[in-house]
Amino acid sequence: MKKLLVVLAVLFVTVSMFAATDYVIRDYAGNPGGVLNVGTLGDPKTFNIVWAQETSSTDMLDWIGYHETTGCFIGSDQGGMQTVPLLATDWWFSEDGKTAYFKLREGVLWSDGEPLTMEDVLFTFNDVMFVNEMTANGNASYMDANDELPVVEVVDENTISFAWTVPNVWGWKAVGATDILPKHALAEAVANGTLAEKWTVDQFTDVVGCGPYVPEEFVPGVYVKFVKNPLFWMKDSNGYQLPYLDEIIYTIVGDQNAELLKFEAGELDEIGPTAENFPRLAEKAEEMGWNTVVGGVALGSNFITFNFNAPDPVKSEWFRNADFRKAWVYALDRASIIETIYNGLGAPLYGPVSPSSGFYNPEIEEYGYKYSITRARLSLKKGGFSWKEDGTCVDANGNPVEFELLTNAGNTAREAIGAIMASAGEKLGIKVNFTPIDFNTVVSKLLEPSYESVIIGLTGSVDPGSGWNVYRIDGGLHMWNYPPEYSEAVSPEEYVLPDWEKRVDEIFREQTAAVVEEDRYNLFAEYQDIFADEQPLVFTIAQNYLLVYDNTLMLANDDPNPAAGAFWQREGIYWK
Amino acid sequence: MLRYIVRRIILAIPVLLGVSILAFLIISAAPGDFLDQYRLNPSISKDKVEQMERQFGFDKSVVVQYFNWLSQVVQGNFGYSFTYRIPVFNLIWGRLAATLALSISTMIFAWGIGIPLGIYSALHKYSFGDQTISFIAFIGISIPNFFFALLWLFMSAKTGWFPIGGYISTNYNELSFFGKAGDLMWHLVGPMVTLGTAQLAGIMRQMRGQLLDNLKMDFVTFARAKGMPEKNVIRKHAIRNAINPIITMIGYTLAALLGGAVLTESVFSWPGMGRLVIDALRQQDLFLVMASLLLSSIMLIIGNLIADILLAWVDPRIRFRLS
Amino acid sequence: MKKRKQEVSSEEVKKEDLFEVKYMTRWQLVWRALRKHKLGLLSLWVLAIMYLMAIFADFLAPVDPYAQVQNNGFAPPSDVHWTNEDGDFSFPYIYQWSVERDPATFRTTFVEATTVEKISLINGKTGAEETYIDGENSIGIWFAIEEQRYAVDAEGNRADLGSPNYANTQTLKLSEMGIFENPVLVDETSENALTAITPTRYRTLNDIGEPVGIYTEKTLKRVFIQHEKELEDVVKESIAMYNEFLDEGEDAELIKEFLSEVGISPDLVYAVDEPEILEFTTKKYPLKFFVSSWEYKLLGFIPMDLHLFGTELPARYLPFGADKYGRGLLSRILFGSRISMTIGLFGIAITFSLGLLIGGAAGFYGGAADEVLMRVTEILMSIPGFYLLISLRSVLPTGLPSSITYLMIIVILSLIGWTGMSRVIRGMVLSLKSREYVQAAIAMGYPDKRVIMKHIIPNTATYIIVAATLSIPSYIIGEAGLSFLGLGIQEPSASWGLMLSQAQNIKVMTEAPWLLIPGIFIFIVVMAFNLLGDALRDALDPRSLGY
Repeated sequence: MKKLLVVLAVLFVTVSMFAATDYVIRDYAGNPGGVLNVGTLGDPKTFNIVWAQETSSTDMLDWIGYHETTGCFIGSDQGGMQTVPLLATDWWFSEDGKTAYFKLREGVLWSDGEPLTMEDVLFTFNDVMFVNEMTANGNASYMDANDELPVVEVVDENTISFAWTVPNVWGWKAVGATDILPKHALAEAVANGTLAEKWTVDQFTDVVGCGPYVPEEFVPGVYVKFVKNPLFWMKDSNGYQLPYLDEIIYTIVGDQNAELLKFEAGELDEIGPTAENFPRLAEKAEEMGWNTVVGGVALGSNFITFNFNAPDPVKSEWFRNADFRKAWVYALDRASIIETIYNGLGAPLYGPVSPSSGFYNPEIEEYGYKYSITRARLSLKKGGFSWKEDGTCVDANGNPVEFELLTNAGNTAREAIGAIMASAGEKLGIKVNFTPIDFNTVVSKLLEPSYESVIIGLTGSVDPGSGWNVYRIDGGLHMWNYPPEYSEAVSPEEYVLPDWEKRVDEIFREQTAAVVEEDRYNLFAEYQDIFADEQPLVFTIAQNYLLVYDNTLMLANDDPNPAAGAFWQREGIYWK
Repeated sequence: MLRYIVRRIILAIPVLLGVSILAFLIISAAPGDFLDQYRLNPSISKDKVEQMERQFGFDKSVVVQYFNWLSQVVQGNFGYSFTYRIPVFNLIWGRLAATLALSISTMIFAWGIGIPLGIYSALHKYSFGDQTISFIAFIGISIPNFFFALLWLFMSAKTGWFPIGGYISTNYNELSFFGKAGDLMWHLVGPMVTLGTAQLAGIMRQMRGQLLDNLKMDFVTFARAKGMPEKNVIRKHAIRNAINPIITMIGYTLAALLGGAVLTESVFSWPGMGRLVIDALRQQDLFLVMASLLLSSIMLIIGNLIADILLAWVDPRIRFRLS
Repeated sequence: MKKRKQEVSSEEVKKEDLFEVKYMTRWQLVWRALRKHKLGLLSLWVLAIMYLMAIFADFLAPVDPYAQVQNNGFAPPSDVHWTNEDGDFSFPYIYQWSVERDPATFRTTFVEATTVEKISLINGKTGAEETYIDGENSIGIWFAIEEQRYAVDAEGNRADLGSPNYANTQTLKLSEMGIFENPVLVDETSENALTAITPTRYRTLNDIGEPVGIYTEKTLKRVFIQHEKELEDVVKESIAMYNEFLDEGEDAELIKEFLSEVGISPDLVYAVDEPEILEFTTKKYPLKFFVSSWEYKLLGFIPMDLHLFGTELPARYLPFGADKYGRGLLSRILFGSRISMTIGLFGIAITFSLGLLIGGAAGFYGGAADEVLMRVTEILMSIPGFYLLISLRSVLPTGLPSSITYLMIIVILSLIGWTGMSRVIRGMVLSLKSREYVQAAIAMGYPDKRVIMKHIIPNTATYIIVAATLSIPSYIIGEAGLSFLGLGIQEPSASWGLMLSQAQNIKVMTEAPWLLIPGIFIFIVVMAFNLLGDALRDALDPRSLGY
């Protein structure tokens, strides 16, 4: 069967010779052949990129070229910045910055042998990505500051332009990162509105991509297999057509302990261990022939949010008080949480952007936040709080300070943060009623909003612009201060919109229009500064990126980190 | 007898309706819905979530939602899974083989060993053998399945005697028929023993207790007195009467055949129904949950029916009453 | 064999206890039969002791079960010393645990450490000789130790790894006691450590050759004397400020001014700069009976700090080691028994009475009643308990203590959990009802209630006892599953099920096996209940009572 495929593939290549492939040349030289065994926790839920939500699905699609790996215009570099030419050989902006141009690579073939053409690009954007109903994420990220979608135009044979009403860098980035879809395979499903039911888990082998591997076999709950794509359009420095590895086998394991045992027994070649298990592997690394990596801290972080519009107006008064919130920035003993939860493999965070991101603003460190009960007390005092004889903290009106803190049960890191916060409260004379509760209840209370305070986390990314839904005032996740238009639970009389909030909102609108990358950096630096100063969300800690792998496995990424993991540029992975 | 079975099958319809209504109500009363994970995704806008609410029908009242679902079910369509976007029937079908392989083998293991051990224990009450068996049984029920599974995997990893979890090897397709069967069995042992030991203890202890009761009954003494061989006394009289509660227990064990066992499946990476359903429960994948609930109530009804028929078969006095 | 025993027992009854048989109540007879059952009696004793332990958990617990102790996570059981430094026998004593982390592998190891009881020193700044005794006039002795890590190459060139940092502590590792005379050098050279340091992380490595060794140098910079009672964190903070200021050459007055500005009492600590230690004694913590330690309220209202055994604070006697958060495992097991040994019984009580009642009625009356009750049972059996629990959780207020929430959940779960029980009882009653003695009782016109209670239910006793004792572990262990819904026992409360479920991973199994001890307790309780059940079963058998 495999042989037949290769013969067919060669046939297709000869047939399509008239459009000579414009190969991407990578500057590594490895050995072809071999199998890579990887473990994954949880089944893939779909193989349809526009509907895939969870990493257990997207991790699989990565190999077929979807999920911003090989099948989009511009790829990410090791720092997670979009700079690597993939399906676009070149891109530029018009003078006024409103129109973005992309030049499509020639001669790229889909894994079924069909050529990837401008038709596919037009189909991807006009028929799928710009139609709100077609995808799980919707079309909002392509819109400009006026909530307008771009006008797509084919400029010449290989060039396509996207014109917005105002400059829209965020939109350009979104277009650059969009996976191009094969029209010949999906047009019918798009036409009759059943795209979501296409390429589901029972249609694994139907998936057509332009990545280094093609789907081979999927046994639900057991394993996923990929084999080399003979039509792939990248070569190494010796002119060898990538990828190197013949086969990728993902074993679906149900539990982290099982994954660890399988890795230790040599059944898996790579593992992202928990911080707790890291010492165990690191100790044996030398003897077993493993490489260990301790990379930068994660992009997403857990934070504490206080509801400015809490049901009890007395409490919402405290929560709107920046000095009250800052007291918690000081009072949380982050080092101790890192010790207990991450075994020392983590770092404290005082702002919304992780130091692993290129947009991190180191100036916020000058605020000098650190663990200090004294400073927490000072901050409370500054905010008008005082202490009674028996040590109970009271506000300016003499109300004892006591509030409810929720998080979703089962998340050890959040439960530990809650426990530490409750004990910090004791030291400050504040009663924190910490309750872990089921996830859906937390989400309902968070979005209603009827909570007092919650510990939660959101997925992070390198570019802070992706958080627009959180930071814009009308964002669906602007959970600490929903405007009255959003929720009936917020009364218009009580609602207060501070100036700094307006400025953050403005920043998140302006950044989409900033064509020069430096302007965006500065805007985001200002936003980080505002957040460090106001602390609307009290960020806590983030874990280091951890990786252990067989030391004869040569990764293309010499510095795996949260922005570019072990399988970054996976076509270049080979066995020594 | 046939009339009785037909009546029970007809009576199953209101039961299933009742189950579906109650379940639907309770699920709707639980906070949140499937879209919660979308709502917490920073790159999905509120408009998009609202559009999906309409698409999934979450904007309608519970009653409307229920009747929409019911009308589909009556036509044999159990709906689509929100997560997988495929008919729930396909999902369940895909897990059926592994689930049944594990639950049936566990049942054979637990009942096949539990009942004889129970009989042995009762006949040798307070002997060394009885005490040892009971002691091991207590260990069996005291160890959580999850831990037992972990221990098993750990030993497998150390010794290499058994695989570190999984259902089939990755080279399964290349194996001969016997090779495939062997491979499956080899993977099956761990989860089967894990699940079996816990059940075995209960069956063994109940069998022992019931038989002890019946051994003291007048009819046993009478049978002995009239010179019946001890073997026959025990087999024809004592065991036949002692087995009553065990039969009812078999009834609802049958219902659990398709239920799967989440924790054990997870640790052993067994692709059973338990893992599928628990994910569906957590994510509130409504139709998948409803389908699995209906399936287990159907199994329950069948199991109970079989148990009732068996009860009547074992004990003639009950048969009289039923027909 | 068995037959003979039976005869003996009935003979005994006839000869010796005829009087008692005639005139004792049924329960007295049961008790008499139970007493003869050795294992059953033993189990009864074991359970009685367990319940006493649950009641007096706080008195028995050597350390506070709820206090998280930083840097004591996964601490092993305390090492009890029976000999002093000279190797002579002494009363048992322990030291404290102090944690060391390997900077390359992040492995933590525990070494013994202790505090200084009395210290005489010369203040390097003033030249005065001073003596301090720990604990006297709320004095605390603190040490500011400067730690500097560095690498050396084959030629002995030194490259500092990062800048020095201070450890401000009251406890000193036994291995580091030499610090009072000379700086202590800790050798960390290992293959892992050498590969973990790279020039990209430490630029100073570019100045030396290939590193062959890594060391940490620890120097005693200052001794601090704490004068007032205050939170440990605040004391550490003010010491850190002193270090910062003194290193920059500021004088003490300025520091005091600054301290009072940030709200710390300026006289909280007193710094002895450049100290020369003349004499010191370290503290040993003898294990004692009836020792005063952490405070609690006996039986919930008598404030006390007396404990059966343990050591004085701040040392902590950990006979079973500590959990992830550094809390003493024995203490948590004792406190956990309050929940694990009681709440399940509530559940069993409700489940079994409902199961008996409904199963009994269905079986006894048969026909339409049976049909309706059993169909309702089937519906209830199919109810998704998971969602019912989530819905209930959202209705219950979040402020309730987790044991109350859990108790309520157990009650509610039992209210739908009686179904399996009722089906088995119904099956048995169907059969029992047609037995001759029941038919006779009915024919004699006894009321139904009496027939069910006196003639049918006693014959299901064996099943009920075995089922009840068998369901105990599922209540103890199963509760841990509820914790994920925010419904079971929540941290920081303890229960055996929760403790065991948190211990179920490879790390604990291989590196901290003492965390599995709650499993042994579960086993003992399960065994005791089952053996007691056996004894009760024998005792309840009318034939063994001599009727």
